[in-house]
Amino acid sequence: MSAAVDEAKAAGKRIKLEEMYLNMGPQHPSTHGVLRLGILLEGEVIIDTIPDLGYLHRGTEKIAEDRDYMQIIHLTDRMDYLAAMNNNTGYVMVVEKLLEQEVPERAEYIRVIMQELNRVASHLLFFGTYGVDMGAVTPFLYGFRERELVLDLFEMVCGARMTHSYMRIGGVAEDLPSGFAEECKDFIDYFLPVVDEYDELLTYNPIFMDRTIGIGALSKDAAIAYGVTGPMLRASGVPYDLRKDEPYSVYDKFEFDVPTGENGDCFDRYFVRIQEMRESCKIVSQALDMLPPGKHQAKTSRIIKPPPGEAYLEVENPRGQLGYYLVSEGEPMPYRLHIRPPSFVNLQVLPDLLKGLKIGDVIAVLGSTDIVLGEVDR
Amino acid sequence: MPEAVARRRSSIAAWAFSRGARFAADWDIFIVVAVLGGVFGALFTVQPVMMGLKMLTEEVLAPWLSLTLFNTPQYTALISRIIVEIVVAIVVLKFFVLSAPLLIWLERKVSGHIQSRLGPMHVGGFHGWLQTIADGIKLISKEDIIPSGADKVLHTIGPIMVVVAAITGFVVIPFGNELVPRDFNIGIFYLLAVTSVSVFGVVVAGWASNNKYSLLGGMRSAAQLVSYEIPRGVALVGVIMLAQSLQMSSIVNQQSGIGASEPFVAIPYVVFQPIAFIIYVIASIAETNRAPFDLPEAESELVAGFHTEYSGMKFAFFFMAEYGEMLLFSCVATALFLGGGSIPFVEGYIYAWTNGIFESMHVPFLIGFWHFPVFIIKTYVLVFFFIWVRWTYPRMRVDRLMDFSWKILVPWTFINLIGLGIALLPQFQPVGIWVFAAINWLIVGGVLLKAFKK
Repeated sequence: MSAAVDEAKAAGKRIKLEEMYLNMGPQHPSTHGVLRLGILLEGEVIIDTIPDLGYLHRGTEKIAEDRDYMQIIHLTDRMDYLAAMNNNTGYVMVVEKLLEQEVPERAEYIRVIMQELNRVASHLLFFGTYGVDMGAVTPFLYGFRERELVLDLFEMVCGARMTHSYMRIGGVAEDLPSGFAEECKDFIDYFLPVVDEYDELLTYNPIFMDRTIGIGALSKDAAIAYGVTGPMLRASGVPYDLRKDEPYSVYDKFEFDVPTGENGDCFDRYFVRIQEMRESCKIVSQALDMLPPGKHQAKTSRIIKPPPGEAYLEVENPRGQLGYYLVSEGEPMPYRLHIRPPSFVNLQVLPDLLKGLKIGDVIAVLGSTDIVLGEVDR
Repeated sequence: MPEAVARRRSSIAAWAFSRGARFAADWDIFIVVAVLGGVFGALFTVQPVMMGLKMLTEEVLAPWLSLTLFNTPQYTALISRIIVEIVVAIVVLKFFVLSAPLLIWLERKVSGHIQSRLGPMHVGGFHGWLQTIADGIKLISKEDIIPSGADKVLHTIGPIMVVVAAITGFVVIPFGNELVPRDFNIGIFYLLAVTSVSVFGVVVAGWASNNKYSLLGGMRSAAQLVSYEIPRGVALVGVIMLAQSLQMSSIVNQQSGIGASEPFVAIPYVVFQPIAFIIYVIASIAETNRAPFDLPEAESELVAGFHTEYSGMKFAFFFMAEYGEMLLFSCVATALFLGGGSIPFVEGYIYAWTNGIFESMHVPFLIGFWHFPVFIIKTYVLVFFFIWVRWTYPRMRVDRLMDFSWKILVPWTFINLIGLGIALLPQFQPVGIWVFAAINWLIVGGVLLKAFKK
């Protein structure tokens, strides 16, 4: 439409255009939580987008200054509530870094298993909701069906299905229950063929490919410039994964690939996540085989008082790099905890990606960034 | 109304409903058997009853009327026709009104099983068969909200236009032999004209709601419905050329062989026109605003599109119209492409054979009693296809939707039309039409092969 308008203007015709302001959210079926987008439209073409945040702001960082180090673990559960295990791990690791606390090897392996299972669960939810965003309701239920099995595994381990608070400073809360390894292997055996089924159902569907390929492409340079991380960055063709490039925990002992895209469009962002589910399964089955015997929890002092100082640590979350910056003054409570949420940083790109697209593509692009508002607002 | 009275009244309604639901749950098997038996029985009796009624009015009522009330024969004929047509109108309306809840229930069950869930299971006991009725009661008793700033008159007219367009289409559907509510000689023309009225209803509803999402939905809908009207209409022209008639009953009879001097192999027109049939089905899905063409009510983008601001019975009207239209388009496809109520290929012989038997037994109203059930079965197979597609595919993008209609469907309908015109030239008869059919099927097979190849 805008091309036609430009032509008409070049021909010297006077055209009066009226912009339309469309308010999308905070109550809208597919803004994935309470995100509000102010969209300026020219017909159905987007000329500007203004994301409005803060509807889910709970002041996690401020509350953390008023809690002791153990109590903060459950606050991190509620940030990215779809990847609570990963959030927990990042937090306890930054405290351990400050404490210079050793962690038993068995606990490290359990942490890896939990993180990767949670990555699978998180990407499954993405698969389902992205299907709904694209108008296919059925994948949503399939995604949830499989996610349910992962949640059952979590329930087996720690009793909770969403807000686990399973990690502890110096280890994990409890050892793996008996029979967990078999259940987990059964799940992986069941799950890997199901991912191929997803590919047949949705990924290679011509309509789906038509709607996502070439839409909202994010170039390599722009992705790096914006500080985008996680599957979004890898979809743009940058094979950067903390688990591979700066391995923390015991990630250097596993063999896995880092799937990357080429164009950084919606399809690549989607497909990178689908492939990551397979890689995560690979890591989980390797970790189960290599799981060493021993203790699951190191001895720590009852009241944790890290020495004065500061530490920064990043872990690879399902949505990107989650960073914790912790400042201690030797008190039982931290002086400052700052969180670098991947969703928040990834959301910055949205107005740039949406410019010039159609209103129907808003959801395609927004869904492919896979943000969790609990983490954006904290 | 004082508050106490209102509370009491609502509690009485709630009590009555809960008692009714409990009764239905207690006796569910008997009720379901009775309902199924009734429906099954009705399927086989509609045709004989209607033909019997016609005979009764013509042979008994008309002479009696002319003896008593009216002496002029025109009035007698008029009155007997009015009686027959009132009954026919009631049958049509009931067909629409009873089918909509059944279809909604069917859609929920089918979608449930596609998505590895059960769908409604509780209301009424047996597989949630009363679910739509309960939903209907809920919708009727809901407050009708008209948003402030909305155009009150147009806001009300919108859903009515949509639902009327869906109902009136049934008037020309040949449900069975001689079971056509109104057998216009321009039946197809009437059908295309009437069904396109629903566009206005959707646009009016979108505009009158005073909501940007509704407006966008209505505008999208106008663009979509208008562009899919063309391939849908042109796809039917092939059938008209084959039948050389616009009259629905005559088109069906030519596919089934009824009225021919001697029995012949009944061939449905889908054999000659597979491309037109596929295009018609695709365009019908688009016309009913169902996935993958459900852009006007794209939930994830436009909330609920043109019916965002509708509640209660007005919303139910949109809902019913969607299912009514789905049924209507399936009926039309059945009548025009699948041979209506006839049994494909053998109909001519069966009809001639049973005709003789029923004539000799003096029960002429039983002739072709299978037409209505066969018609319904064919229609519901198509309806199932519609539901299946809806729960399988993602939604198309707006510009792709337009491309698909104008760049793929419209050219192919015209190619099909020109090819058929050449094949029907007198110098190519009688081989021409068969060569054309073979080419058609080769193209369809090629497309399918390409689609299913990995």
